[in-house]
Amino acid sequence: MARSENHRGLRFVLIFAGILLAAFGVLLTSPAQYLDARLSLALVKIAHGVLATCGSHATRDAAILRAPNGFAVEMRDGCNGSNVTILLWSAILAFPARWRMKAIGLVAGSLIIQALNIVRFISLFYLGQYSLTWFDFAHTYLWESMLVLDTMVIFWLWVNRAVRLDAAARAAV
Amino acid sequence: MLDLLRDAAGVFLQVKENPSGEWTVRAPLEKLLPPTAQRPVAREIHFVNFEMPRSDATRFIFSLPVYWAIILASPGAKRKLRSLLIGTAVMAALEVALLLAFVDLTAYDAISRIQGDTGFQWGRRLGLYMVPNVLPYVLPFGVALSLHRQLREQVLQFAKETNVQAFCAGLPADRINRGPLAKVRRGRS
Repeated sequence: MARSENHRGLRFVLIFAGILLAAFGVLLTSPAQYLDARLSLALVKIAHGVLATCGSHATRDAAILRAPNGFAVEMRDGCNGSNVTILLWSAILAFPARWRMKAIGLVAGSLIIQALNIVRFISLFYLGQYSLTWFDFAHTYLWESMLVLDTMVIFWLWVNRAVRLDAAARAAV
Repeated sequence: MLDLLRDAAGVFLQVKENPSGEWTVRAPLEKLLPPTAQRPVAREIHFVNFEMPRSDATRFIFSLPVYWAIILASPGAKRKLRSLLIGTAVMAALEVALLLAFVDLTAYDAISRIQGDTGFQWGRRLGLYMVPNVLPYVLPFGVALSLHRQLREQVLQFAKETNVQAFCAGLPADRINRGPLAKVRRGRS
């Protein structure tokens, strides 16, 4: 039993590491970098839309969000959640589950991560206007670790659901 | 913690902190640059010096507090203490290893650029991206899952599923699919 668990665990780790490396390798290619920049632009557009709906006078210039007092924040490579999305995709694809469940996990997980990333971006936009020291701390440490932690929680919830549905489906056969 | 990391890395290479807080790193690297059209004499390289902003260095001490947070929030007091002690040592070693890997990759990349060497460029870029931007955030979770069995079982659920499979092995299908066993398989009890 323990041997089987170790075997499955090792298989998961190896597939996870393989997909992770390959995906980050692909992310560094020119076409992927172009798509990455487009994603950043789309996220800033959404963030600007949310702020405008809430009555903010912030302006947007490409991927830069600017406050009326002059403070500006740009969403650059690595700030658009692509890193943690790759992490989640690698974990979901490496986990033994049905492909339909994997597809649901990939789509729903990515949407949740991007929603959180927009919250992160808006919070950093306001935090930066209040204090640059706190902005640096939140940008480099707090939100980065929170996003990885959120990714782990999303994966955990997905595994719970996938295992339960898989067991139910097999029991029904 | 940054001072501890600098001292630990100082065992393997020369690291100095400037008054501004930035690090000057001297990475040992033995390399012979062959003569080229622009530089007719061969050049021997023994080390590469480069400046490292404090914010870059702090990326390598970030994993340990994240690891502590994960373990302290995980279940099981006895296993928690064991994982905390072993994991702290493992994470500390990994942080130093990551910093050394980053310094080596940076030095190697700098020399390759001087040489105009485009071989393995993609690999170098991948390494220089993964080591400071991805691994410090992923490793605490990886180490926590490796060392803390209960956490691993909760997150990955391999054991849970294996237990049900082993329990059901050899039993007739009608016994598994009906009554309390079916509930166990569905994860309700």
